[in-house]
Amino acid sequence: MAAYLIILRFPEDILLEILTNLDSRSLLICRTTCRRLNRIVSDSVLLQYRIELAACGMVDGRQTLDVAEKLRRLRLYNAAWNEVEWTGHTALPHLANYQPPSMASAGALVFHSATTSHNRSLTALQHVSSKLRCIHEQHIVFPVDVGFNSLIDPSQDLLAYAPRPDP
Amino acid sequence: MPTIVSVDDSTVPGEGSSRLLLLVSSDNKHIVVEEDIMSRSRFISKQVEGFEATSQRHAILLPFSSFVLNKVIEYCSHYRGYYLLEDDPDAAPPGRSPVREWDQEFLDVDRNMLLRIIKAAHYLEIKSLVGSCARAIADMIRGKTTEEMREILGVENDFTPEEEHSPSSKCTG
Repeated sequence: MAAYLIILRFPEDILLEILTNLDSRSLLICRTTCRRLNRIVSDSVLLQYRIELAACGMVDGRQTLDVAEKLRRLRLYNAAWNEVEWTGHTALPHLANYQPPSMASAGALVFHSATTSHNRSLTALQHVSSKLRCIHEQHIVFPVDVGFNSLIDPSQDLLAYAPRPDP
Repeated sequence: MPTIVSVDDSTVPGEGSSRLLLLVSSDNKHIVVEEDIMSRSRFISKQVEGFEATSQRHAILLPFSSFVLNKVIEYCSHYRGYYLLEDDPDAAPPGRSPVREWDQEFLDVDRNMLLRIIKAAHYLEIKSLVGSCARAIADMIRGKTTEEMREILGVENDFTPEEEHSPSSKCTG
């Protein structure tokens, strides 16, 4: 077919512009079509980041880092999980008077204080820092009236707070 | 690069606030268009700047057919006076091309025509149109198998049998 335009003869930036619109699965299939597309996809930091991000089930956090840095951190993160080695230790001395963490969600640990004062106990929310995931350490404490149950889900920004039923 | 032929100034008279440009397609059709319609094209804008520097106006020869050129002019006429972020040379490019309904209808053409338009838009440096065409082409291949993609893209399998079966070059996801 003489009239059939051959897309591979197009400049690389046109091909990249097309590929940028594809999801990770279509990009992987595109790599299997021919050498040139395979190379363009694997040489593109942006496309490679999209593929590797989807492969570990994550979504882009819209951090203001450039894509190359995001890809570098993603690979370090994956390597850390593959090796399951401690990458850091954080001491939490300010939580000495709390019970063991009652739950963990979205990178936060929830602690309840062991003692009460003025009819109130304390609930602490501890975000442990992670360089790879751009999370800064954060510590939030708030009082809860004795006789109330509280439940926190940081992934939903949700605090449920309900009176404990009388025994 | 097209060669630039000098034309008599009387063939491209200025009229009103917008001057006229003479565009010549590869099939030698002469198309007169108002300059501000084509100002979305970085390529044309640079040519016009050149005219101003030498105070000589020329016809601009373009390496694609009048059929494709008219389609691009239709696009530029539709967005005449509109601000599109992708065409702003001073703005940071958006990550992906935004979806514009009019563009989707405008680009509802066959595969070959779509490829011709993207090539022309790339040549003329009209980023918004390149982006919309790229999106439309991506829509054609999304979710397709390797064979179907080869068919649509006009691509030949040039992997060796060993490469085809090695996991590094062939990932089927």
